[in-house]
Order: sequence, then structure tokens, then C-alpha cells
Amino acid sequence: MAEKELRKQAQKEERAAAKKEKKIVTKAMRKRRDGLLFALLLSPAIIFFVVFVIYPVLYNVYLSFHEWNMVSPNKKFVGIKNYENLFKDGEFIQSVGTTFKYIGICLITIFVFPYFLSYAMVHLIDKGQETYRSVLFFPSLISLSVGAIVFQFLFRGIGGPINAMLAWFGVEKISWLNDGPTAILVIAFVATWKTFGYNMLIFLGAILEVPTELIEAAKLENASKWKIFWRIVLPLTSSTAFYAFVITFTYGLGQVFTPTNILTSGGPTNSTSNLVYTIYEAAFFTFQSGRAAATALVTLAIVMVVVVLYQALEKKVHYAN
Amino acid sequence: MNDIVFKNVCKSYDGKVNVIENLNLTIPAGQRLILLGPSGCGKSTILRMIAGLESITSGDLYMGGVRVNDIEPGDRDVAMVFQNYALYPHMTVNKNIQFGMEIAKVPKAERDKQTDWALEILGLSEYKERLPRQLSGGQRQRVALCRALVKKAPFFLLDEPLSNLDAQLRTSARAELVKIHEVYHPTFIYVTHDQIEAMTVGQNIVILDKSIIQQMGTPDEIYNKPANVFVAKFIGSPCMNVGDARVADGKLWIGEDGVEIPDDWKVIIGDRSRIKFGIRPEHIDFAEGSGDVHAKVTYTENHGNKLVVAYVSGGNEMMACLDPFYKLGDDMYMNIQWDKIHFFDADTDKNIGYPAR
Repeated sequence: MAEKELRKQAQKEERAAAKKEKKIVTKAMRKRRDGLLFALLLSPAIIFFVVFVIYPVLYNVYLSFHEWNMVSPNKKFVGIKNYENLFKDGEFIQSVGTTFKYIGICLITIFVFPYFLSYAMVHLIDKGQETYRSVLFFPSLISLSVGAIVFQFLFRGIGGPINAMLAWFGVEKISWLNDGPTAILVIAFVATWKTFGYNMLIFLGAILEVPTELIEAAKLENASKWKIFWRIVLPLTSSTAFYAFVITFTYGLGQVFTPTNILTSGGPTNSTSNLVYTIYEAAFFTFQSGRAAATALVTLAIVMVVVVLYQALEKKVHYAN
Repeated sequence: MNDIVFKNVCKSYDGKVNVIENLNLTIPAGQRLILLGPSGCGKSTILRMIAGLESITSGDLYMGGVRVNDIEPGDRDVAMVFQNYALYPHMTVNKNIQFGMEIAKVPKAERDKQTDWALEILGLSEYKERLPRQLSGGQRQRVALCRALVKKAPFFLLDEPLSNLDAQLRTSARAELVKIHEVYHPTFIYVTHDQIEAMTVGQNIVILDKSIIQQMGTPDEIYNKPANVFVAKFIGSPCMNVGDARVADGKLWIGEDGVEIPDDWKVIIGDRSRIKFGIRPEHIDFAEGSGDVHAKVTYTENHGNKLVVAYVSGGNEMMACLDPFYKLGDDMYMNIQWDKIHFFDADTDKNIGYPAR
């Protein structure tokens, strides 16, 4: 009887051990299977990222040390000559200056202005808000290329409607697009026209989120509208403002390409060409792919400097949570 | 001097419906006045009109003898505590409290002194450099009080300041509010829908319903001599029992049971044949076997410190608060205590008065 029980006990232990072993195997298998599943799910994104981001960036670095016309089977290694040429070249330096001019103008026209306007719309203007919002947002729905073509017509030096209207007030004909400073203003204006309403909506959303009683509490303290904006609304909307600032910066850096291409093609005498347009011109007009690649990398370096500045700025941003 | 006077004040948001209708109210200087009423009765609107955060559609509002209809909120010299405190989330406790003084260009040394004084009073000194999100609800509420306190404004407005606190904190916060008032005796206007806050904090209570003042009086007057059925039922927990009765042959008939009316009450009741009577649950006198009016007990609740009994008398559903050890029998009666009863007109719901005693 006791022997039987002992045997039973041994069998039981054996089964438990087998079960445990089985469990360990299962766990290991499951881990492997999960790993495969993760890899499978991530692979489209990884492949996309490698093919369209990592590889082009690395290839760009490679190209920047070569001379190549994009057709020839041979790429000639030239070391840092492309970079040396860039910094010797007045055109490149000019385009860096122009890029910062665009960024500066855009920061005022599509960052500062809509910020103030949306504050005014929430706290100062009582009537017709819906109409203003619709009218100002409308250009965001139109393609920038289409808008640029329309403005090309409006700003024509000869026979352009804007010059015709100015003539009524005795203003002499202005060569809007054939004069460097005015052409930069027109291009920045078109970029502003396109983005102003979008940024304004973002700011509106953020300002409306500021609890009314905070504004009321400040009013009871006799704080002026400006103080309320500066001390309450600005800090509490700083996270949105930070986002809009980044977007505006990149817009000023890159997106003025479309109006530049359509309105002036970088002219007159390269005065409206920003960095991105210079890259495009070098690569696809003069087929100097090495120079284009070097310009792109310098642009990237400028952006990196700005990113570091952003990070310093972000420490001052108030996030609700 | 710092009294507040509403003269025929109306407020309408859409130009059609008045949310405040012809308000006439005088709030004496230095008083703790409570605006009490259910949600939507217009009490917050009245407070916001005093603060200048709501415009006045018609009528006149005087503060300290000056007509303030067109005076900006910042020029009215009011301090206000908002329901959710309205602390600036990006500023520390210290900066929150000093904000108003900075705007008023008070010198830094004076600002620091005032802030430390207020923080000391409300026991918040160690939280000076914290952000509001690092504080508990009760601490935030006290910071809001500090911010209002340092202003030392002659008008101190509070919009349901305790409604976001738990029951225990409310009790201590109520005492703090009274303490703050005692510091410099501003004209204190306190909006709440909580009758206990009203009774404990208020020197005077204004009860509002549907934008109309139902009664203004001391907590004692409101509790013991309610002006109408609404006030009678609004104050007290459980609320006053109000039931229908008939008057005939010198008797008060509740259902099938008639009780002889004392002579002094007969004078007050006059020739009314229908009437509403009111008895507070704690004034119900129960007896077993015999009594004035038969009471059919429906259920009981033991609250520990009292026994709440629900019963029906003459078709009226009523409540009684009894001693927790009271033993209910099968055949219960309610005895009318004539010095504890209230009568209201059956048509107008208004209190018909009390015999002189």
C-alpha cells in the first residue's frame, strides 16, 4: 500500500517537473515569437526610414565630396573642394542671408501677428468673429502654387492690378518682382497669405483653452490687456506658441521655395534665392550635385544649431500636464 | 460706508429673458452676507455683477455710495475667490499672491511682508515656492484666500469657494473664512448652495429662487421663521415637513384626524379653510397608541446620532428625527406642538405669521 502511494507520489512529481519544463519552453518560444512579430510590424516603417531617409542622407554626405553631373557613370572625388567653393562664393553667402530674411519676416507675419490677432479675437473683438476666422483661414485651403500664380499676375510690374490701383493714388509703377528687396517682400507676403489663417486657428485654440476665470482674476487686479497677454496668456499658451514657432521657422527655411520658384526663380540676380532654392538650382539646373549636396549639409548644420537653441527655449515653456 | 445697494437691477444675456428681475437689495458694510439658492437661481450672476464681470442691463448698483454700473472690475476694489480658485498654474504660490500687488506697483519689501503675513494666517508658509499643481485642493483654496486677503479690499467676494473640498476640509475651511473676515471686516459676500455653509458662516442670508429674493434674514430668522414654503423646505436637513390640512369647526384636519386649534393660532389662521402646515423633523413628537394625528411608518434609517423615520400622516409623506434608541410601536401617532408649527397660505405658499408669545 505504502509502495503504491510512493509510486503515485513519484509520478505526480514527474508530471509537475515535465509541466514546468514545458512551461519554460513555452515562455522562450513565446519570447522568440513576440520578437519576430515586433520585427514584422516595425519592418515597413524601418524599411521606409532606411530607404528614404538614412540612405539619402548618407548618400548626400558621399556626394558632397564628389563632382558629378548626375548623368556621368563616374563620380570624381574632390575632397572638401565643394565646401571651400561654397564659402568663397558670394551667391551662397547671399542665399544664407536671404534665408534668414525670410525667416525673420515670417516670424513676424505668421507668428507674432496671428498670435496677437487671435488674442484680440478672443478677448477684444465681440462681433463677426466667425466671419474673420473663415476669411483668414480660407487661403490655407488653396494650393500655394495656385496662389503664387495668382499673385504673380497681381504683382506684375506692367499691367498688374496692384500697380494699377496704386496709380489711382499717384504712386509710380513698382517693379515688384524685378527688384530684390520688394521681391523678397512679395514672396514672404505670399507665404504669409497661405499660412496666416492656419497659425491663427492654432493660436485661437490655445488662447480659448486658457480658463476664463484666470483672465477675470487678472482683470480684478486691474491688469491691462497687455499685462494679461504677457503675464497670463503667453505663458499658458507657450507650448502651442513653441510648436507654431518651430513650424514657422521651418516654413521660412524651406517652404518659401514654391513662391520663389514660381514668382522669381531666385532672381533678380539671385537676390530672392534662399538655401533650399539654391540646392534645387545647383542640382537640377546646373547639375552640380556635389555642390548641391554640400549646400544641403550646411543647411542641415544651421538647422542643428537652431534645434539646440529650441531646446534651451523649451525649458521656459509651460506644459499643462 | 462700504455698503452695496442694488436698485431695480435687471440682467439679461439675450435681451429677451431676464435672469435677474428687478433686484433690490442692500448689503450693509462689514457684514458676512450669504447668497444661498439652488443652481441657476442667479446668485453667481449677482456676485459677478458686484465684481464687474457681468454688465448690468438696467437699474443701478452702488458700492460705497458710488454708482459702479460703468466702472471696470479692476477699479472697484474687490477681492474675489473663484469656485475653482483661478490660481495661475505657471506661477508659484508666492507669485500668485503677489501678482495683484505687482500690478498695483506695491514695493517689493511690502509685497513680501504682506505675502508672509497672509501665508502665516492660513498656515501655508512652507508652500511658498510650490506650484499650484503641487498642492492639494484644500491648500489651493487657501492660496486663493491668501491672494484675496493681501488685497485688503473693502469688498470680499466668494463664489462657492468650498464646493471642491471634501466634507472634513469644509468644516475647517468654514472657520478660516470667518477668521479672515475678522481680520479687517470687509463687506463679505459669499455665494453657496450649501445651507450648512450659509448657516455657519453668514451673519445674514439672502435666499434666492428663480432670480427672486425669497427671504433675507439672520440664520435664526431663516430657520425659525421661514418666509414661505420654498425657504422652509430649502433650509434644514432633512427638510421641513410641509403638508396639506383643512380648517373646520375650530380644528385643524390632517386627513381624518382633527386637532383643536389654540385661540392665538385661530386669530392668525383667520377664515382660511385650506392651509399648509410645516413641522421640522426634529420637532415631531411621536406617541404610541393615542395622539393627535395617526402616523403610518413606512421605513426607518439609523444615522447613529439620530433615527430618521419616514411616515405618512393624512396623505402627507413626512419625516421625523428621533432619538436613536427610540422604540417604534405598531400604532404610532404624531402630537402637534403648537409652539413648533408653521403655517403657510395654501395658495401663495407664504408664511401667515406667528402668534405673539
